[in-house]
Amino acid sequence: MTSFLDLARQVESLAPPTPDVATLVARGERELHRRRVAAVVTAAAVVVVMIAGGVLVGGGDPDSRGPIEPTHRHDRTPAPTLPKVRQIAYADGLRGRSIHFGTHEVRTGIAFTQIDVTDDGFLFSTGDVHGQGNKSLWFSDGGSPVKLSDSDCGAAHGFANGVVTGTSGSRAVWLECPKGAPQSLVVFNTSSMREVVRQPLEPCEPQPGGCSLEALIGDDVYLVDAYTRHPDGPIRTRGLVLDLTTSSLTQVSTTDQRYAEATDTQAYIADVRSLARGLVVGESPQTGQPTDGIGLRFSVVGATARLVPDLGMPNGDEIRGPAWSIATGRQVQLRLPPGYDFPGRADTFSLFEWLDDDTVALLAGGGGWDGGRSAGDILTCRLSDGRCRLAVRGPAERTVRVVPNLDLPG
Amino acid sequence: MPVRHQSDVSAFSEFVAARSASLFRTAYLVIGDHQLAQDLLQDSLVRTYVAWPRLRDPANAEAYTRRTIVRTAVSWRRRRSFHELAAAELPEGRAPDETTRVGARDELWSALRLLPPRQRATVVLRFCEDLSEAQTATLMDCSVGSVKKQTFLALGKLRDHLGADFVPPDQTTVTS
Repeated sequence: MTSFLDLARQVESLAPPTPDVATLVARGERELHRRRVAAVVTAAAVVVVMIAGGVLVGGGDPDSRGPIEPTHRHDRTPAPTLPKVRQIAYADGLRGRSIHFGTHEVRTGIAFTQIDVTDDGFLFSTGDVHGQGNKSLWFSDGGSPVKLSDSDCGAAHGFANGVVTGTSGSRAVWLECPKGAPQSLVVFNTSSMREVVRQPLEPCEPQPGGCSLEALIGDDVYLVDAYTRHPDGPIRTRGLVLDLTTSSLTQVSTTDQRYAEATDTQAYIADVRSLARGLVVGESPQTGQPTDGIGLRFSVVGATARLVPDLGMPNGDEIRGPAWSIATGRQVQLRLPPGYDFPGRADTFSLFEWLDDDTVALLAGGGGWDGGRSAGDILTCRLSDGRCRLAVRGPAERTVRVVPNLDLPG
Repeated sequence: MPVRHQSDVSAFSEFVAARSASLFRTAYLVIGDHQLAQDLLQDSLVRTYVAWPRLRDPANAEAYTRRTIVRTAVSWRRRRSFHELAAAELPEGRAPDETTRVGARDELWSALRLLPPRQRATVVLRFCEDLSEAQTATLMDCSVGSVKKQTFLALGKLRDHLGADFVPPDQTTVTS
């Protein structure tokens, strides 16, 4: 105890600062003025939204009139015509029956567990997160959904967490489980609407756990295989990568790991560094940790409301910014939109989509209901100049927003 | 046109003059860097100015500012750790060092800087600022149980770093 008190006394003996009260007051007045302006703008925006809402709201609760088969809710605007610019996909509510995609709202008529997105549209899979229920995979380009596959991979699988898409392009990858056979990997092109690869994966035996997909990076599919050396032996996992150009399947992790991750390997890092849509988090573009950015969390820092990334590593560690664009090598310095830095707003934002090589979409507060008053807001941010704007206001209080690539809250 | 009344500005000025030194000590102990501590104090005082009509009583203002300091420091340290340069020694103070005790103090200072932000803040508030567990919990916006846990973990790490030199605080002398 003496040592701690000594420390306190030593600090007490330091020359204390003499804050300039005039400067403090001036800064405080600027903050008060900024808040007043923000309040006026917000009030005006609320009025506009209420007027617009009054025009648009006309139907009843979509959940109460849902047929089982998906139907298209409105088709007034054409399907996306710029295939290289992705649209934002999201849904509100854990048992939602409709998905927003760009300017479209597509009625699924059936509960879904996961949304994935390509350059051409979005995929959604049904069945609950435990793999129960009717498991099927659907695609929509903003129009009527089309069923792509049914799956019966057992209680541990289904399509939940079993579909991956890249940060760009038209390919969607999933696993199917033929009875009595190893799992098959299916690659589907959502532009041509054709299956382009169907390959049995010999190591992916249904027992004890089969394989699960982790990522699609370029032409490489990263997956994890659960296996046992002996029928009654402990379950082990190993990271695998399938090269779609050569159909070769190779192991990329060390053997006999309890929880291996294919994305925690040098092969994955080398692949990510080749991406146009990727970031490096760390002190420099050369020494930092590369990532495709999906799931990357940003925290709000400083008086200018900068967004600084915290990269979660598979081993539980976190690497904290700055971030660098892999494509340009330049530092990425995102900032909250002007006026968005209000008390009670979410203090973390997660990247969930690349809209083009320079634009990303972030979800405020992780989509849950504990993320502050702005939870569920979707921001779009340009990497080149750091500017962000509010693209979609968050859902009603205590409604979870579901977006591609991010885990559901809890 | 100023938003705050002149009387508020005067009261705030008096508060800054009277309490800055004490608040700076807290800022310095939790952030561990002289320049950052000054920034932290200034930012926290600006927030206090903005919130002033809700505070009025200087006691409330001090508690509010100290709480802002602690929470912001924890947040800064979490986010700025990649920028932070380890300072092995305390900056020179006005009082001369007692040479026989500086070494031990600096080792404690260095070890304290290695603690995670919340553990460091907990130790500073409990044993340097001599606050109770309940007061510490209020400042850190957490439960008393969380304070106990952070204290336990922090003291364990300090013991690991300092070995036999570590003098554990007598926790019974601090009001609980």
